[in-house]
Amino acid sequence: MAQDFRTSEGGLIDRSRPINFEFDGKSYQGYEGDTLASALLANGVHLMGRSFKYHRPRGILTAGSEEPNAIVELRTGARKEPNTRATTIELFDGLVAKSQNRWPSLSFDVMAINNLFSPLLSAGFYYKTFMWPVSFWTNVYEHVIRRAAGLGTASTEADPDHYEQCHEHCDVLVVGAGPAGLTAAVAAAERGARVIIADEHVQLGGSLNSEKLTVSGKPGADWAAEQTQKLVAMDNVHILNRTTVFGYYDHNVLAAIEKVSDHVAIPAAGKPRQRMWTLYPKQVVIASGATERPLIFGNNDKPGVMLASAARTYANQFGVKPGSRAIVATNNNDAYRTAIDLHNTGVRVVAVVDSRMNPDAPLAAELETLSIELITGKTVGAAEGGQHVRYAQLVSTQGITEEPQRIDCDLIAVSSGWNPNVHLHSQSGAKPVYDDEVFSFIPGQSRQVEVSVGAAKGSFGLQDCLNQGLAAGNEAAKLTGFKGRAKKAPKAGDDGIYSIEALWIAPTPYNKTYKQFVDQQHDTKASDVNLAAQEGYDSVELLKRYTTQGMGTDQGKTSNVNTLAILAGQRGDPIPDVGITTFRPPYVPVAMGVFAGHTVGYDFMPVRRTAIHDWNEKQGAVFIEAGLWLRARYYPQSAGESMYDCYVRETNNTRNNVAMVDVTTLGKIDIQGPDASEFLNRLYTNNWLKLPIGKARYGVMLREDGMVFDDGTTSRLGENHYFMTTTTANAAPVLSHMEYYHQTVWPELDVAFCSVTEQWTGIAVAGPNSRKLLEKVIDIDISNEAFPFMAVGECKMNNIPARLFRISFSGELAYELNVPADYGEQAWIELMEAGKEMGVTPYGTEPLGTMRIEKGHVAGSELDGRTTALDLGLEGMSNRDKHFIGKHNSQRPALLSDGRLQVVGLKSLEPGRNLRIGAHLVDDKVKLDSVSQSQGHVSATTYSPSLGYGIALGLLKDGASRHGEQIDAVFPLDNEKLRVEVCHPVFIDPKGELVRA
Amino acid sequence: MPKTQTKDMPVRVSPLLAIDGDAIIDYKNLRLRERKALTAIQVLAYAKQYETAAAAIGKALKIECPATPGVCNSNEHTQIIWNGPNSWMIIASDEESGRKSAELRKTLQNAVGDLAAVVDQSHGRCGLRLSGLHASEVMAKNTAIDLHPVAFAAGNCALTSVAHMSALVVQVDDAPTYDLFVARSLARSFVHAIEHSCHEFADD
Repeated sequence: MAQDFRTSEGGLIDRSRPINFEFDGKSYQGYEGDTLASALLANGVHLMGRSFKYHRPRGILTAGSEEPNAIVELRTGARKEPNTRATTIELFDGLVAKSQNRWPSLSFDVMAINNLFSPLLSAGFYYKTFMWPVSFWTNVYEHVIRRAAGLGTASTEADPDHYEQCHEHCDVLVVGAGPAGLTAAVAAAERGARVIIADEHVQLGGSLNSEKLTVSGKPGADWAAEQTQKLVAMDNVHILNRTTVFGYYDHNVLAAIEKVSDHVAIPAAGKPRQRMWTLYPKQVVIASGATERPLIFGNNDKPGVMLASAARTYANQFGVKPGSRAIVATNNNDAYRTAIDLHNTGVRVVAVVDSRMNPDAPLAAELETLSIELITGKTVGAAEGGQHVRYAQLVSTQGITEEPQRIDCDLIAVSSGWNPNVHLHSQSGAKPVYDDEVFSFIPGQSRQVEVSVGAAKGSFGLQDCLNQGLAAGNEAAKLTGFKGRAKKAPKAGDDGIYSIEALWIAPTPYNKTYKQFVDQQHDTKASDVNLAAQEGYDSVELLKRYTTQGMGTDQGKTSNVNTLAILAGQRGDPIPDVGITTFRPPYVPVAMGVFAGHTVGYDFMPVRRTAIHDWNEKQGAVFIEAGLWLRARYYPQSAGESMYDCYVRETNNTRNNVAMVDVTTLGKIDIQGPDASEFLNRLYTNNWLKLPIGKARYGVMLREDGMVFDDGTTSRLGENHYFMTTTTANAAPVLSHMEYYHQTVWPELDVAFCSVTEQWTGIAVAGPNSRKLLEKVIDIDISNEAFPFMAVGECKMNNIPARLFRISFSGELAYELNVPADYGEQAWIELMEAGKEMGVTPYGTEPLGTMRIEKGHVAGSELDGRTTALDLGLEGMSNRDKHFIGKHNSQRPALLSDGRLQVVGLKSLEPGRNLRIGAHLVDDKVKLDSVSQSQGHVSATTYSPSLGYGIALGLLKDGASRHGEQIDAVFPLDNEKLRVEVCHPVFIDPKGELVRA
Repeated sequence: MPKTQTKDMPVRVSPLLAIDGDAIIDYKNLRLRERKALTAIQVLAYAKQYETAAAAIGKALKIECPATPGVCNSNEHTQIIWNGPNSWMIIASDEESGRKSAELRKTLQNAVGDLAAVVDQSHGRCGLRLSGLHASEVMAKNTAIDLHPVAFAAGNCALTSVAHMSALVVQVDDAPTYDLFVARSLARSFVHAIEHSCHEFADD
């Protein structure tokens, strides 16, 4: 079929550039400038899909993003995109699309049988029909309903395309580039403001591209092209075409989606498919136009029923005849233009059916000159035909009972008036108000710096659009500091006067029952609205949820106001009393991938790597995430070595020989100033005023509420110079905590500090042979006498400047070496070389954790924000003679009373079995399935290579006084129970002799 | 003390070692390269000594020390970047050795004496230079701040989120050229994100 419905000339398509595409397996041809919808119509294809619930045949209702029916699966394979509106898809070579929700084929759909069962499928049917038996819901009903009622299916393959985010600030954002938007943008830009103008189409111009209107004596589309050129030439203007502003958020932040590559089969190299814009304008001009309402009558969903404005858009912009024999049914003046434009395109227009008794005289005269019959006081009561409209049944709107008048036609162009697109206005927090001149909602009081103009404000006349656009552009520029001389608005050609009389629902022929659809995408009928109201769901919010009206991908753009009006009729209330549901972003469907943008896969989260990362990788280390850090967890020596074997081996080599661990990730804070000692003294629970230079001390910090916050060592490097370490997890929170107290509580203290975590690579060398190893490479005396436990000093490791700390986390004789990070890998390698002859090995966080449990050091799982120093056995460090953060709150009676969870050690009493982390501690009378008697829990657990059995740390009610007791550790999820003995949390070297050796 | 070896100054190893060559991106209108062997010294003045410290830094480096937020003053070799109340990050020009960093630290330490803390961050920061016609478009994909010339021009700086990572951004000239300083540990993730944002300009 060769575009039989294409006119030989006219429109904004390029007939010299044919484009081949495929729909439902059949090949077609369209032209550049077409949408998928216009190209299919040009080929005489009207049937586009099956409806959601009843599987009724559906065609094309609109020519824009409000389309409820013509939604298709676009592309194939990994790029397949379901529920894409044929009316917004720019045609491209090789486009492949498929209709949805039909089987085995679009014209013969088995599930169309639903149409016969429709009495069972009324509003809320899934709440009523499929209630019993309950077990059938998930097993039977849900599956069947999901299959029968639905839209397209998503691809199961990963999306091969890239999406990205972009940010832009401006003085004035103009949303929509129709006559009002273009005028506003030019006005604001000519005054010098930074302007962004966004429009969902390729070409700016909006309705000027689809109407036969003139501006400044030129065809509208030509005038729009001229204005576009003007904007392109100004460097203070950014034109975002193919871009839909879909969200208006607080603080005047708006979001838009740019379809960068949707008009090509595969995005060009480096180009994203779509781009999300976050826009930060100082002023917003909303020129988003209006959406036409369909008339509600019997079978108003049949292919061949089309919005009047859409019919003339296809004729004017795309040179397509949307039918051969048309009638136009309306309640307002605007649709007369459709009759005239269709007539001029060569479509036979049989009649204009105006529901009003007194139509506009000049329009009536114009129809007469074109020999188009004008029928007044009637409207379409029902459309009849099989898969397409064959005739219309006209009924009286004046309550006259008469035989319906039959008119044969294949196109019924309908208009029930226009709804201003108040979506962004409403999203900005404002309340649209009902206007009984245009019979719709128009923008109300602004809540943010936005103003609506033109059709978006309910001003449908072209001259009004141009005037308001100019005024808003000037005002927005002025408000952002750009003044200029007032100019006159361009002169619009005569487009008549918009006048309308409401007709919310048509009488049916012979008062028979017909399906009169309000929401065509979700198959919501007028009778569903009435039923919902009768059943008590008579507020707009409840009605929406009960009938699912407005919940489709089109968000009820063509159905919201009609539904409200029908509800109002049913309730017997005026429409303003019924109100309107709040519009929410997004205005058009936006793929989740666009929100994720670049941050998927490798870039899902940034990764922090230490200087030793590459070496670790080469050694085949297994990594673990610690916040954003990647830390070596253990180092298998052969491919088959298990984690268990590894950490036992690495632990043993530390306990018996010497091993090294990368501790770069610990937080490090440099603290200086005359008041540094005093500052530390207030932060930590213990005393810091008398720490000698060249010494480190362990310290505990509390939160203001008295709970333990963090622990670590701090070293005194000079009279007024300290170096603090924190846990990996609390590196940033501790710094914030310090900043907070310094800036707001003690600004008088002369102290300055900053994070130096990144500056230093930290290497812990631990084990009885650690001194022997270090002596080979360190240039200072590190004998026990010269460099005792907790000593700190500057030194050189070979030729690398370094700081050495004699501190131990493993409980063995140990040192921590800090070197500037660019030398980190070299230092590590040289240490490994120096220790080779002794058999030094690296160890990861797994043995690190094992050894800290053996040593009873509390860490993150015990410092869980609910434990006090007393609970953790650290109260001995608190200095009662000074003030420190959290001191008073830590003395609250409840925190000192009996019954608190206190840290204990736990030993497995069953050989070969280890404790489970998270297991509850209960006494043996308690049944497995009852944890209400829990006396605490296991916080950290390991198999101890040094002791040869499973050990753990736990928090147990009054634990400190229960050493020696036996208790059960239960893990109800796996039905596990283990007998354990409560003991002191330090399992190894309780006197700390090893670290001082 | 026994020594296994004695060498000259050790060699500084960039966190971007895995990236070959000097230029990470080298398109006609877009370039991204690492400022290798960076010298970065953080000076934190004690609140009461703020003005005296600023004057001392200015005198020692012969560059006026910026007193207002968002400003970076520089000469051919050195940038003084305002990076917080009473604090400045001082960056010395590229290709300088570790010795230079020690020297600059000493110079600053001598200049400010007891007025301020001087902290070496040379190994803790990765410096990158992004320049060319499309540089601000690349930045717009990664940061929410306004980089239009009316809001951000040569000599301006900001501490902000770039590609979801904390970065110090300095505009060097109107090419435009931006210097980006990020934490060493994040350098590879950061470069990966920026590089990706550059790809669409490969043939432009």
